[in-house]
Parts: sequence; C-alpha cells; structure tokens
Amino acid sequence: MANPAIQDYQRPTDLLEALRQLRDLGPRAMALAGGTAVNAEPQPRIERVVDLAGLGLGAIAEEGPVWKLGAMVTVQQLIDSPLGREGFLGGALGEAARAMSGLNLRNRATLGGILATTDGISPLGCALLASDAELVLASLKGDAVEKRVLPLRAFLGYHASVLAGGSLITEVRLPIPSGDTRAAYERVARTPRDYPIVCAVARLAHKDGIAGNVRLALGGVAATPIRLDLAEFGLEKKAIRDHAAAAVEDGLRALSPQGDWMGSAEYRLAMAREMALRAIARCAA
Amino acid sequence: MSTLAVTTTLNGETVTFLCEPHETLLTALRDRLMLTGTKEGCSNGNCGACNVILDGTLVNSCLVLAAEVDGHQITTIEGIAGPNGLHPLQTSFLENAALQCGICTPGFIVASKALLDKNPQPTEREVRHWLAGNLCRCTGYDKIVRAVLEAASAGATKE
Repeated sequence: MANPAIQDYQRPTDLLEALRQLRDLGPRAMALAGGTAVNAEPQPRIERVVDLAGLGLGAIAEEGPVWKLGAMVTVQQLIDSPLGREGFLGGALGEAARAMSGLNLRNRATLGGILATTDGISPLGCALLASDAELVLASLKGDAVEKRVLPLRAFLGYHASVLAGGSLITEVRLPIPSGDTRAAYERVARTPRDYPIVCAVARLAHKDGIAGNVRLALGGVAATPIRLDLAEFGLEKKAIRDHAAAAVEDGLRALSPQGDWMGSAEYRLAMAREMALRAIARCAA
Repeated sequence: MSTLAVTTTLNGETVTFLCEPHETLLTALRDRLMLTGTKEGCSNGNCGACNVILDGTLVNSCLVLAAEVDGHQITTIEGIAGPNGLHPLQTSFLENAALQCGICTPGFIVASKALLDKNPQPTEREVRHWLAGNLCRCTGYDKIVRAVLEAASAGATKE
C-alpha cells in the first residue's frame, strides 16, 4: 500500500542511532520491521520510517535457561527453528505461528512486529503468553541506550503507549520448559487455513493426571491475547480431569468479549470454553 | 522528500533505480522498471498477486518498500522463463488450464517456483499449504495444484 506521507527512509546500523531517529520525529516516525502491518495500513501521519533490518536482531540462540530470539526473527524463521518443531512444547508454538498467515506474510512478519501491532486474536501471541515470554525493550535515557525486561503479559494492552514513548522491542525471551511440560494449541476458524475466530493455548506440567505450572492463553475474546488467571489458579495442583471444566468456567467469568462480523460475543465465549477445554485435554492426554 | 538510489540484483542482473521513500517494491517494479508482470491485487498482503522472491524467500512486494531491497536479490515473474522458453511450471499451468482471467497467475507461478526450489517433490498437502497466501477468484485451486504437482513430477527444478 502506498503511504505518500512517508518522506524519509532510514536504515540505521546501530540501536542508539535508530532510537534517536525515532525520537527526533516523535509520533511522525515509525519503526519498520517486516512491513506486514505498517505497509498494509494507511499511515497518514508517518513521515519517517526507521528500518530495523540493519540492527542485527535476526538471530535465535539458546543461552542458559532461555531461548533468545531477536525482534527481527520472522515468524517463518521461528517455525523452521527447533522452537517450532514437535520437540518444543509439543509443536504448539510452531502450530500457532503457522496460523498467523500464509507463507508469504510469515516470511516477512517479525516477532517484534506482530507483538507491537498485535490484534486481539494473535495465535502466536497466545503461544508466547502461555510460554511466559519476556521482552527486552530498548529506549533512550539521556543520550544512551537503556534496556529493560518486561513480561509479555505486562506489555500487551499497554503496548501502544509503551512504544509511543520511544521504546523498541529488541528481543523476545522464552524460558526453556521443564521436561514434563505439555502444551497444545486449539482454534476455531471458518476454514482450516483461515485466521482463527477464537484460539487457545494451554501449557502445563503433567504428572499422574495432576496439573502444575498451568498457563492458559486465549485469543479472540479481548483487545489483545490474554491469560485466564482464574482458570490457571483453579487447575493448579489439581486433577485435570475433575477440575478443568469448573476452572475454565471461573476464568471465563472475567471476560466480556465484543461481538463482530466473525462471531457474536456469546459465540466467542462458547468457543473460548470449548477451545480452552480441548487444549487442556490434549495436554492431559 | 529525498529521492533514493537503490541497487539490487534483479532477475540476475545488477540494476540501479531511483525511488521515493514511500514507494513499494511493487510500484517500483511496475512504474520505474516497467516490469508489469507482477500484479497489484489487494495491496495489503492478502492475495499474493504481487509475489516476488527476495533473497530466496517468497514475499508480497506490496508490503516491501523499494528502499528496503538495496543490496538484495529479487526474482520476478519476468525472471522465471529461461533463454530456451517457458519454465516447466509455466507450461504446466497452460496445459492444465490453471488460469482464467490471469491476474493471479504471475503470483502463483512465482510462489510455486519458490516452493519447487526448496522442495522439488512436494505432496498435494504441501502445495496447498504453500499456496495458502495466493488467492484466485475465478478458476479455483484444483487445476493450479495439479499444474504444480505435474511440473514437479516432470522435474521442473532442473530447468
């Protein structure tokens, strides 16, 4: 899509320069990652784009207890890495990543970009939430780069103001799950390849039918992907078979989804219940 | 507004062109370089009509700024046929009547070329998943999938 207001293209090679270029034009400048959101929407206010491609943020590395993924790692790069395969969280991360879009968009869309511009459904956002992902954010302090680490769940919902304040996502960190951790992605969509209407990612440690370290993330029921805390709490250290239904029901009470052309509020709630229960059941299978 | 000079390897040849910072790769290909085989469909990444291969990966050229491709390699539909005529994928699309109005066809062929470069013998399921980002509003997909599978079994990547 043409955005004729853009009059200036920058491709800095260091982070400090990138942050300065964004700061200097304030809300009239925008970071450019894969372009699948920025270039797909009208941007009447944006005069400068700062391309992050030269910052070396495209690597995936295992370091101690965490995987570190550069913010410019593409969705397809994640799918093709060990994190997208069956051996990591039962393939749930890869499955959620594949649900984001067709290949030609996955080849460009980046992890930083999809989180910075997240919608309320984002299957990969749900999987990252359920994986306890953390973000490394860089901003200017005076004239130096300051980095801080923020849990993804604290970022979502406030992402627009965090980024408008001049911060850049530079890295996504995923803790390496314990050996008995299981995860599953479930979704309902109009066709098998379509973007979901509602989706769920459950992750839990499973031992003798008892759940531990429970995470349940839902997409399609709020303005961003969310965690269902009450459901997680209700299932923790409990027999999955006996407590899943009541725990999910408790969690759903906190939701007030908006209906739209893809599904009414009632439909979204009903599907959220079903997808959550299916995902939990697959973890327990 | 600062006009930019972009140097890229386009269909195997080094090319330098001028563009404005807001121009997409699609616009530059069509209006600056007169390579009009790459089509504009939706202009927001849904239809795949503007597919090109950028450094070996399939992308929508409507979502890439022309300035971003400086120093990179691009293959467009014009670079698919060889010196001796049509690429086997193109022949197979013709033989299978895998097109009707034709506006989606360059995107499908470029996407299929990227698939066969990576996976010379795809299954039908792999073809369908790979082409999920390409829309055809008239012919439907069965003949397109058949054309890709036939081209693959004929050894399309050897051309």
